[in-house]
Amino acid sequence: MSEFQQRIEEYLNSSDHLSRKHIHPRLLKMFELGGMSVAFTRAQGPYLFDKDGNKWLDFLAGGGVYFLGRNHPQIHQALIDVLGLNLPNLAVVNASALGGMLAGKLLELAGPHFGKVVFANAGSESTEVALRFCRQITRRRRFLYVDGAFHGRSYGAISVCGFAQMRTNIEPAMPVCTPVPANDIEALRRELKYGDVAGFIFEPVQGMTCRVLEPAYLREAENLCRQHGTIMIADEVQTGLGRTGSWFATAAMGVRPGIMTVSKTLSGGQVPVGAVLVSEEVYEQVYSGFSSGLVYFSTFAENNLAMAAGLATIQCLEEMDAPNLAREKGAVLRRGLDDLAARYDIVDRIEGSGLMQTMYFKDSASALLRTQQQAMKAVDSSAFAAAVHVDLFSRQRIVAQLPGPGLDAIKVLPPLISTDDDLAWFLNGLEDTLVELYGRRGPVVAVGQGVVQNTVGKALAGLRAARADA
Amino acid sequence: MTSVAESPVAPPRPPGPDFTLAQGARLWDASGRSWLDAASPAHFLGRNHPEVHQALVDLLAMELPNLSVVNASALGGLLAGRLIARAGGGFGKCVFANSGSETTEVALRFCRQITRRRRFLYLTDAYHGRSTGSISVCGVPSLRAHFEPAMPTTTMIPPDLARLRRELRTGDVAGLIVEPVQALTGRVIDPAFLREAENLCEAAGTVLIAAEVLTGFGRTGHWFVSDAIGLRPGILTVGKALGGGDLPIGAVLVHEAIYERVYSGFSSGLVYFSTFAENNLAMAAGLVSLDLLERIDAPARAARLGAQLRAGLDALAATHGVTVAGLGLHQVVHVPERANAVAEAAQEAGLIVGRPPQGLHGLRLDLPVVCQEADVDAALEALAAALAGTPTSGARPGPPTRSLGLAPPTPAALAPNRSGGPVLLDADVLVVGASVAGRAAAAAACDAGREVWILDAGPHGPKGAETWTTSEGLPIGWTLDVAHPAPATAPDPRTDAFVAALQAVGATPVAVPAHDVPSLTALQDRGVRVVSGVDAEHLTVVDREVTGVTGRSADGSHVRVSAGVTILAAGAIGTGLLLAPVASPPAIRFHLSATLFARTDVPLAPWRDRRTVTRTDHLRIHGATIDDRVPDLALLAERLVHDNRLLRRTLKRADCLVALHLEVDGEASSGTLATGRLGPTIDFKVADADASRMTGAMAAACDLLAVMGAIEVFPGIAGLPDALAPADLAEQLRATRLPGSDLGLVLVTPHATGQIHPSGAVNGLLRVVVADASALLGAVGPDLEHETTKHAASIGAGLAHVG
Repeated sequence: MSEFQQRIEEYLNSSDHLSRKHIHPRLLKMFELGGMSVAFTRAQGPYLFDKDGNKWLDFLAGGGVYFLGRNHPQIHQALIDVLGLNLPNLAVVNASALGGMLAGKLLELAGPHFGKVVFANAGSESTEVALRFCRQITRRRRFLYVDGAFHGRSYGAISVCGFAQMRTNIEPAMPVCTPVPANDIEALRRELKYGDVAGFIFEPVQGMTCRVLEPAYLREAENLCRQHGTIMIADEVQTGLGRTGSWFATAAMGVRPGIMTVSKTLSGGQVPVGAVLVSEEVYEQVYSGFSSGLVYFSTFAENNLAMAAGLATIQCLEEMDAPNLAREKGAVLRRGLDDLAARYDIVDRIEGSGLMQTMYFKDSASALLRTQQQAMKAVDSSAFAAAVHVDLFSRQRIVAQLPGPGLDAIKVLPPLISTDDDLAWFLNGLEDTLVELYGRRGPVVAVGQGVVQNTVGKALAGLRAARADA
Repeated sequence: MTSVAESPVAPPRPPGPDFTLAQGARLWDASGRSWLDAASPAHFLGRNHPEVHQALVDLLAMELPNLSVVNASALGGLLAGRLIARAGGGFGKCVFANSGSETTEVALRFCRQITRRRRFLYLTDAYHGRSTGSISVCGVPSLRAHFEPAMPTTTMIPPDLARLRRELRTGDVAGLIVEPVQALTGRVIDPAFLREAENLCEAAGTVLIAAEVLTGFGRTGHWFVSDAIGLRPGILTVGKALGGGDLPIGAVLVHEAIYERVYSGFSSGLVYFSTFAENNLAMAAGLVSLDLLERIDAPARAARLGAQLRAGLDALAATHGVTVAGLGLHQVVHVPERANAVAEAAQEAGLIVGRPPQGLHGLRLDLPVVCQEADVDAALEALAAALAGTPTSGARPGPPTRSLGLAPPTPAALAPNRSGGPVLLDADVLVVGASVAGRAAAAAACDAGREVWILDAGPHGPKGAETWTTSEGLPIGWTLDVAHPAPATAPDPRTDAFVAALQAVGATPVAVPAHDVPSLTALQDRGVRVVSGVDAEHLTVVDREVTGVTGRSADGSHVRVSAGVTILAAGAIGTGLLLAPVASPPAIRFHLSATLFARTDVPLAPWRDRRTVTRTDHLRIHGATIDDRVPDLALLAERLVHDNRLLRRTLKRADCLVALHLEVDGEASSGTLATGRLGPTIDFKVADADASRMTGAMAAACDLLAVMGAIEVFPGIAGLPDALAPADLAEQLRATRLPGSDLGLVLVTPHATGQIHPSGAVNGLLRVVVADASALLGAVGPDLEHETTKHAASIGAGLAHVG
């Protein structure tokens, strides 16, 4: 073991103390109060392990970046190989060889509609590039985005996010971003008619809400955008590269946006990356007559490691026929979730596509449970989902996601390499959690008695403690 | 190897050699020729450092958890601890990001979060990244060409304490962001300025952000410039070198107190979150880079190599008439008008330098700290050859590089939207002008069920005013958006004093009903779309039908609005100018108005409480009115005072300030509007009789002020038409019982009424209607504004029946 490895190894088992001191103690406190304080020490495929070898099923997958699973050997090998080549990297002159290769591969998957790729360091940065290009081309200022949208957390990106909570205390956001309701073509038509819209940005399946935009809506939106000189931006940061059952969800819907952003899966989970695919038409308009060639430039974009991770990732995805595999596994997952929805009345609905699915909750018909749900919602509109989340983590050893502010829902992004057993682990675990919540104790009984006895109770207590803090 | 022409990657990079190998400070092509790379500051440790690589390989082999979202990252904690220890300055927490731009985003976000303020200050020529937030604090206008409006409320200032004091005094500044040594210019910001800036920020409750993305980790001869000069910024951003040249990374160091304030609420658990931030590879690269930099004592080495480099550059500067700025191994050679030519020549000679963005001309030299003395010599040799071989001027075709010169032009002036198409808007009812008349007409039209747009030039306001943009995307210069609610029934000491004074001189106060015109914000809430910062220039007329207007926005963009019905409410002059080219030029009457300020020795009440116009009582004498309606002092001060020291001093005692407003019916003052070859002209004359009424009104007002307890009056004459005989008036005012200072302090705004049919119809034109005082010729009652409002509302309401 190298000295470097040793240093890290020694620290792993107490992994949170420096984080607690130097990074985000309040967040860690939240996890602890929620009974989610576990120091993971190893990771492989869809699993995370603690030092005692306890295994968690990771269906959050780093927010979707581990579509191929954690620590994928082929991706590791590609990174090691590239490091051994001593290649030029981030040179300010001339093209990058690996960047060209990855761009070529992305364009091949995305189809002939796209002609060029701009690389960035994250999904947020991809959104920034897309917004910038739209204004550059159209000389207009306004953007339209869809209610419930998520496009990143940098200033431009957050200005087109459809959750008011995210913008607390950052107003004024970038001027002139207007929300439109999902799947409402008349609303879109009305806004586009002003003729001042630079770009319309959307996720074919929304990353936070998992809402699937209707293909007919998007196809008509494409027509309207063309008619009114507005650029259509498809954000496929989460959906791209196979997750929803096709290489790109928009392509499967028959939609041809002028700009498409890709990230997450492309990184192999190892190196921050983002990619912006643009049609030749868009590219020509951005760079025609452009003197400095630097409409967008980033120090780190197109770095060799990111490009290598991307190339290896796409190769693995192709070998596994990712879109078809995701469609098959997604169907199993969806059937299981639909079945739970049919049998448990706290489930409102299931939304999503392929290997991104969200279960929404509603008030139960059971008076006891309903009362408790309502009490929890008074604290936080997603408190019930938080209880499910915590029980999944601590009792079922399943890592899922609370998808977005105010959403009473649980979301999962199962890796492509999940086995049928993994899917069963999740579905059975989720059912067991629901049964527990329907059970005699209910989610808040323990708290009501002033005795914090179960983990759900702890979560709620934590929530309240943190509230009192504030 | 992919060539530039074939690569599907955008943006196209400048052409260059096909490099095939990289190590340390150099890049090689297939033939074995090598280049020194001074243009990649991320490779401060050189390219492909074997120990960085080994650490990454070791890390991958450990199969660690990574980006688990639900828990702490072991490596993140380790690196954060190292950074905090290294940075000095008392930082307590570290937030990771994926690039320098992202660190700027985090820093800006935190400032707004904890101060609950909006505005940011940044320095001329600053560089802070390319995302929307970070580009909004870049002091190089070309970087955001065609990207306005980015983040509103950022203000560029020179590194000048007086200016900084002035900006901070407004109390609305969330953060000041500075690079202690600037990336693009090499300018070393005076440490004395920075230290005093820290004090001023502290006093003003503004967060100081030191951006050391480029300068951090030893490049300047210090681990961090801010720490070396004794600065204690609240936030420090770092990046570049930290990634070992292999990984994207950024880090934001914050004081404990800032962290606590940012995250004091549960709901802000995710004020900032990034999928990839704190990823293992980046953290490992950071750890091993810090190890290596410490082992070679990077600051000392950079200082030594930097001194060698700078000595050579200074010698070149003397020979070639260029200038050099920088610190340690960050040096910038300013080569006006031939920067790109010299960069290309240097590349020919084996040295790659960083090129300036449009508008600047500094070639950046950021050699790696691992380079040798011989490399520094080689760099100097290549640059000398490039400078000698590149003619100083005139040899290269193409437009000259724009120099920022002494007075930096505004972003709008640098990047006019000349090539772009017009901004097109499509309105049902278009109201031109957002003053009382325009707002009243818009409100009524809105109530009548019409879709209404308001287009307004928006006063461009005093220097340094915030640049805002409407919800519709056009810049607002500075729009007076004063609501006019009914007068408060609560007693107002100033009004009381005025009424008492009126009674004391035997005059009868007349109460004037208040009008109730919604503010622009209130109108927007009702669905009216407001586009401000646009000068309406021409009516579009097709076959005698007005189909809208064309105009120009503050940044030079053409704006074209088509409208079903156009309501003109731009004031008699504005409306007249629009009508002059297409209808017979209307005659105009001028009504003089003025505001007199005086100081009392007893405090009356703070002005702050008078947020809105009080409209209570007035005295009417011989065709003139004197009343005490004065809008919010801040608004007046903005318009009147920004270059008048005397009044500014007085405003510090604003609780002792009273003001009276004077208006004179322009019974005999008239003018005409015409369009000539040089554009529209106004030809007008203020009649002697009207001028003398104003003089009389001013004298009467001074008497009233004296009764109200004034000890000094500020009559001012600037801007008055000649007919008012400024000198005579000053004499007359001095003859009153009050001592005065005859400085330019009086606001004179000619109101006007024009010859438009009382219905608002314009003779010979369809689909257009006039809603302002232009249509009130001869109808001036005791309250022009009230009459105008009533008129405008009736015009707007009438649209319910118009197709």
